[in-house]
Parts: sequence; C-alpha cells; structure tokens
Amino acid sequence: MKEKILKFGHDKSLLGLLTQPGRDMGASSIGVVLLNAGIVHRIGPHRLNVKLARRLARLGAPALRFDQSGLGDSPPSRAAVGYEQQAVNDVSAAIDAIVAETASTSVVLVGMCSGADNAYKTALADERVTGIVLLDPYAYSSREAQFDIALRKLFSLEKMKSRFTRIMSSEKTTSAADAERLSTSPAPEDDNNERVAPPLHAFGRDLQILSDRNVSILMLYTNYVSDLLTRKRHFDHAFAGFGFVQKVDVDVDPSINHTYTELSAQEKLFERVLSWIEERSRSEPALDRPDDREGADAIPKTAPLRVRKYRQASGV
Amino acid sequence: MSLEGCVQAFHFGNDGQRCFGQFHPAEAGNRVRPAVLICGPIGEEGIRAHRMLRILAERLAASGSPTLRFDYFGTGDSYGDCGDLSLETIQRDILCAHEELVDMTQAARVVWIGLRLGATGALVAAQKPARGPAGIVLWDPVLNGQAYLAELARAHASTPGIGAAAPSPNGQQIHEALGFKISPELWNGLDDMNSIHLKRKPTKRALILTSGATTQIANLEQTLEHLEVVIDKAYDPAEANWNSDNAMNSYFIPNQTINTLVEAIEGWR
Repeated sequence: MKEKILKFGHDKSLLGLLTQPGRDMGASSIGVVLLNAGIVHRIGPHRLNVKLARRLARLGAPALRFDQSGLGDSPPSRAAVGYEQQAVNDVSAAIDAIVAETASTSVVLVGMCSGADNAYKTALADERVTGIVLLDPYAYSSREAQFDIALRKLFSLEKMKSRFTRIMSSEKTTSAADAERLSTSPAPEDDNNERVAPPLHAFGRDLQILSDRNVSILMLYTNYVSDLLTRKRHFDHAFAGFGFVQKVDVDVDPSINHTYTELSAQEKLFERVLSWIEERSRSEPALDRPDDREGADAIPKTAPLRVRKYRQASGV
Repeated sequence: MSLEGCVQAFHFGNDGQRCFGQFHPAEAGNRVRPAVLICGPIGEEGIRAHRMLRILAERLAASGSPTLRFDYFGTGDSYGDCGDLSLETIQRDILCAHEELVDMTQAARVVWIGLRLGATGALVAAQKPARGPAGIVLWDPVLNGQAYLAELARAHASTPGIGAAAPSPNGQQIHEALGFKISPELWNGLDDMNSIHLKRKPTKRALILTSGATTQIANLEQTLEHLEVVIDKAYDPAEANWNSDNAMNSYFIPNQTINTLVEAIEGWR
C-alpha cells in the first residue's frame, strides 16, 4: 500500500491523498472517492476515511480522500458558483484525478451526512459514477415508522421508569413535546451547516434517476435518524411507489451513532462497505485502455476485489 | 501566506514510519524569523485543532516564520495505525520533523509550538537533541496522564448514542476513546505520567499558554525555573473553546490566542 499526495482541480488547488494497492494486488477497475463529512478535513471523523481507504487498497481498490474547496487544506474556490455546485465540481475533479492516476474506469463515491448529499448530487451529474455509499443521507418518516417509534418509546424500560418517577413526583409529563416531535416527518437539520432535506418526492425522484441509470446505491442509517426511521421497512414505506426501493441496499442500525464513534461500529461499517464494493466489482466490465496511453505499462490488468485476502491482511 | 501560496505537502521520515507534513514557506518580503514546528494534539483533539493550526501556520508564515505542521505516525494522513501511537513515537516524530524543518530551511533557530499532548511530547523530546528548539510554546499541555485518560474515558462514555459504559474511577485500562484506538503502550505511558519530570534543560525559553492557572501548571513552572528556563505566561480562559463540543463542526478559531502566539514568536529574537 502506498499513498500519493495529489493536487488537482482548477489551478491544482484541491489537496488529496490517493491510497494505491500494492503491486501484487492487481488493479481494480473501481476507484473510490471519499468525501468530506461536514467540515471535518479529509481524514474523516475518527480518521474513518484513512482507515477505509487503506482497507480498500488491501482489497485492490484505489481510494482518494480529499478536501473540497474551503475545507481542510483546500482553499476556497474563486469560481462564481454556489456551494452545492462547487461541491459537485470538486468531486468531479476528484473523479478526474483518480481516473487519471489509476486503472479505474468507474467510480464509487462514499459520503457521510453532507458528504452523502454531495455524493448523490455528483452521481446525478457525472456518469462515471457507478455506485454511491451514503452514510446517513436524507431520511424521511412514514406513518408506519411513527407508529412503531411511538410504540417503542411507550414501552421502553427507560420511559416507563421515567413515567413512574414523574407520577410519583407529580411532575408534568412531556408527552405533548414527544408527540410534537413525531408529528411531522422532515429529515433532521444540522444546526451548524443548515443541512435541509429536499421534499421526499424530490429525493425519491433523484434516487430513481440513479437507479434507472444502474447506479448501485448503498444507504446506511444510524441512530441519527431514530426519530424518523428505525427499520429498513420504514424506508420502504416512506418511498413506497418508487421502483428503486427494490434495487437499493438499505441498512438501518439504531445501535450505531452518527459518526461511528465506537471501534466495533467502525468495523461493521468497513465490513459492509468492502463487501458491497467487492460485489459491485464482479459486475464491472474489464479494463479497456489504449496501450499507447502514457504509463500504460505500469497499470496492471484489472482483477476482482478480494475480501478474503483483505481480512487476513487487515491490521487497521 | 494564504493556502493559494506554495504550501508543500509531503511525506518524511524513515521507511515504515513515514509522516505526513505540510510546509508553509515564509512569505517573501518579511524579515526571516525563527522557523516554527507545530506539534498538534492526537485523536479527537487533533481533528478539532486541524483548522486553527492551519490558520496559525499561515499567520506565522506571513509574519516571516517558515512553519511545518505534521501528523504523528499512526495519526491523520501519516502512515500507520492509531494502535502504533505511544508517547515515545510522538517524541520520535517531533525530533524527526525538527530535523526535516532544519534541513528545509537551514534555520539557525527553531521554535516549537505544542498543543495538548503535543506540548507534552515536545517538552520531553526537547531534552534529547544537541541543537534543540530555541523556545517552546506549551499550549494547554497535558501534565497528568491519568487525568487525561480519565477525561477521554468520560468524554467517550458520554458521547450521545453509543453503548459504552462509564469508565471505572480506579483507572481501569481503556482501549478506545472517541473513535480512536488507545494502544497498551500509549495507555501505560499516560498512566505512568502524573507529572512532567525533566532531567535536562529542554530549551532556553518557554511560553506557557493555558486557559487557567492550576497546581500542575505551577509545578511545571517550578520545574522549568529550576532548569533556568525563561518563562512567559499567557492565560485566556475563553480561548479554550476550540476544544469544546460546541466548537465541533463549527468554524471557531481562537484568534486572540493565535495573535498572542505570532506576536510572542516575533519577539523571541
């Protein structure tokens, strides 16, 4: 495994690190781009992007982590475009970079929270993206979900204890506040970066466009959205009527927190993402590059990703 | 210097222990001042400090100090796993980065700025080289390893939405904190560190920059005075906010502290 520092994008201002598989691994036709989460710099919360990039490299897939304009060590862009468009431009520039530097012919984007938003928006704009991994993307509730969640809260041991204590101490209950919190179903907003979810039908339409284009989609939800959905069927209910529901992979795990703080949660994440990407690699077309391309000799033939080997070699 | 300038990102150090660094050359037109090595904190604190240390490096470079910031082996963008980190590797990497900075700048004088555990590592490491730092800034140094571990364990256990139990008050070993592995070597090193013991004079001059006066800071001052280190002090409780939960995922920058640091180093002639 080797890491190469890259400066790319307009006027070479974006900073990234490309993790490359060892020469003995055989190159994957899939490259992975890891996006900023919130304003955390390119290493990601708890260094998740570094750990994931190195595991992907052990699997045979190159991975590029980088800072978008104005984040980490990349300066703000001088382009006269808004944040959302700039983010898409930056991720596309990262795709240019990983395609130029490796044998990758298709790209999977991995993004958490605002990074998930930028990942799917880039996928809509850039057809080189064949897969997206969205960690806590926009979430929407449904009547079924609200019923399940209210029921769970009603009978949760902690709530019962709390209710008993309140009765004994003659305090007012907060059930009205609880009901209010559950009464509507917008995705959570981030107080700091004003992450506001689009209407459900708009997000659903975008996912449908990607699904129709055969973009593979993995969506992993944590307890960050536990007031909106706690099971995969809640997601299915929310997007009932959209055909993509049958094609996307959705996991909901309320035992995990938003940034995967616990090492055991990180392990689960890595296993899930690596297995999913390995599965995608089996259906990728073989590398087809002109022989006279500069540096073509250095690019090994593509090979399917090998999770088993990764597991044996993993030390991170 | 702005980021658009010629900040150089590179790897340095021995094979198998390569660190990631970013060098901010001194801005042209300014009188050359001491080179500065920034020794950052680790773990969650390292992530929280990233932006302000980048801005500090830019400000120092603009004032005439070529500045190097870097990640310890096993942290940030450096090679290695979090489990490779220990107090010894932090000190080793600080010395390696110091040599790299001297090589790059040919600077006659280098000042180290250490933050949290980076300050602790800098102070101990500074005893070792023949030509060590001309001065050290000790910015909220970790002076009691056991208290630091307990603080990490408490913060970890109180993180919303995780299943970790509260740590035992009797110093039970922790293996992870706030998303990062704590190696047995790091835990043992911190658990054994209930104060800073220095055998040699680490530097001629130190600036102690803290958010408040404590007994441990007073003990540190005594230790340094005993070794004839000239001590400057600056206290600013409000500026400790960079490490608060509220500052996470925000653009909070302790400008007053950064000004203090830049001015102090300009004055260290």
